[in-house]
Amino acid sequence: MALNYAANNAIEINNLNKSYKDFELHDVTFQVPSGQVTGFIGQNGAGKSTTIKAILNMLKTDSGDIKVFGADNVEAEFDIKENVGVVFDDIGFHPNLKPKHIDKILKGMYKNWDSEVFFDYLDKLALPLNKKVKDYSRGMQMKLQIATALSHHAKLLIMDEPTGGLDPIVRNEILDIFMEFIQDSEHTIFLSSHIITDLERIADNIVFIHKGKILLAEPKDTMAERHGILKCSKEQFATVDEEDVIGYRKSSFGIEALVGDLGKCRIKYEGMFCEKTSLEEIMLFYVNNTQI
Amino acid sequence: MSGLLYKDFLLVRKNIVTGLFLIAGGVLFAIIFILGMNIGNFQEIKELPDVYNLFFKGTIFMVCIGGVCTALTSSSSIEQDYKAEWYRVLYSSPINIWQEIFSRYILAFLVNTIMCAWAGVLIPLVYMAGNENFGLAQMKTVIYCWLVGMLAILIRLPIDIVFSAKTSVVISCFLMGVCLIVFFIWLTCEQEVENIITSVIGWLNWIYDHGIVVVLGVVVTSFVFSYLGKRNRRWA
Repeated sequence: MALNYAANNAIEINNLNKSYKDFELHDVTFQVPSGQVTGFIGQNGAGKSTTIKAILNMLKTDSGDIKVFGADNVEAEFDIKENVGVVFDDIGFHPNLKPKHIDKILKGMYKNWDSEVFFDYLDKLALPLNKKVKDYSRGMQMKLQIATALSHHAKLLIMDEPTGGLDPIVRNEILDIFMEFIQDSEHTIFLSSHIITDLERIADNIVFIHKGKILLAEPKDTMAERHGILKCSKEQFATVDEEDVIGYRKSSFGIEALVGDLGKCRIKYEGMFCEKTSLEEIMLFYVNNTQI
Repeated sequence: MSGLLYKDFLLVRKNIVTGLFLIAGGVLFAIIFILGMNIGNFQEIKELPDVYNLFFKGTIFMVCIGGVCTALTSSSSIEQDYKAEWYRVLYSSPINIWQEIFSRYILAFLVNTIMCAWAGVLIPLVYMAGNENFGLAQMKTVIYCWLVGMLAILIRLPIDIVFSAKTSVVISCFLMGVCLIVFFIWLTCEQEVENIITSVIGWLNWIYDHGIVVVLGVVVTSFVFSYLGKRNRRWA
């Protein structure tokens, strides 16, 4: 099956289900638009890595279908992987290997491997050629992984916590590389992260997963425009429609509630204070709401 | 697949070098000992044919077995892959299960062949030192050891591929233990040493004569086990 790079969505997941003893992905459905950065947020154990592994056909799903560049991820697995760069939270290379070895190994694994691009990235990221992987710092190991993911002319980057545990300077450098990569309109990035500020900086879309279910999947700007915080007293809160509120918490001034339609609430609850909020706050309210 | 072979070769190259030195060391020891028999008190040993033969052929056999053992250590790359979590890289690349399995077998076969060829190059020196005749018949020891090495690899690799490194060691030790017990029982039941030697040589000759059939049968079985095991384990 030929891959369609001009498809509107680089990844399409429909009704994906996967059950484990103590966890399940339940009807996971979302799309990753081509040419954009999509951030995948969720708590530890929410199902981010499981979803990414399912996309890469690294685990057997119970039901549902996954399409990458318009092709089924199982039927066209190897064509897809030829065009996908993957970065995990930990490096998978043997500690005694050097970058020159990694170049030769991956050259024999990818048809489109480009040694020139690889060494250019190593140079740009200031990664020493003569050091072994075990002598690299965590930041350097992540950079090395990113260099390998970008050196076979991948059109889609899938990353699982690529900036986790890194200092702000290295994170910034890595985000700059992603920004450079996404300048090409054919390129797409799908990355999971705990660090919402990173996603606020680079993501065009946000997919929020919680306890194996997708709670939100929409453009970041729409999400920021749509949601807001309603600040009011307990008495005022009693008059608010339950359906307008996603979650609430008690504060020193009374009640702070997350509303799903800020514009509507500003008109509807004139006497109360409504304001925009951050992505992080939105996520916290969604999680707390589901816990109440 | 060449990338996987290169990676495995890098991981086991120290084992290969050690194996080459081990064989060379064994041969050197034999040569020094044989040449030393011509002087001093060792002259007497040479005049005891049983002792001399045991030493002479035993050394050659040990040299060859050293090569086989080195070939078996090539499966250590599997353990190193698990430790490094190499499977994250592998399963996100366009490499299928067959390519992964083939690369393991090819490497093990290559190491076995290199070791036996190295032994085959050096063993004539031992014969020369002992003023013994050397021909194709004497090379049979090397060929037998190569065959034994191939069989050992074909049995060991599916276990290594299907199970984790620790489980694989346990299973291999268990199998080896069972074989040793059976062998020991057979040795104690069989009174005539000559019969035992004749039987072992008979088995080896049978494998040697039916080489293609034996190797094909074991190869197919080994590959099928490896594939089925890997396919299931991949989802773990």
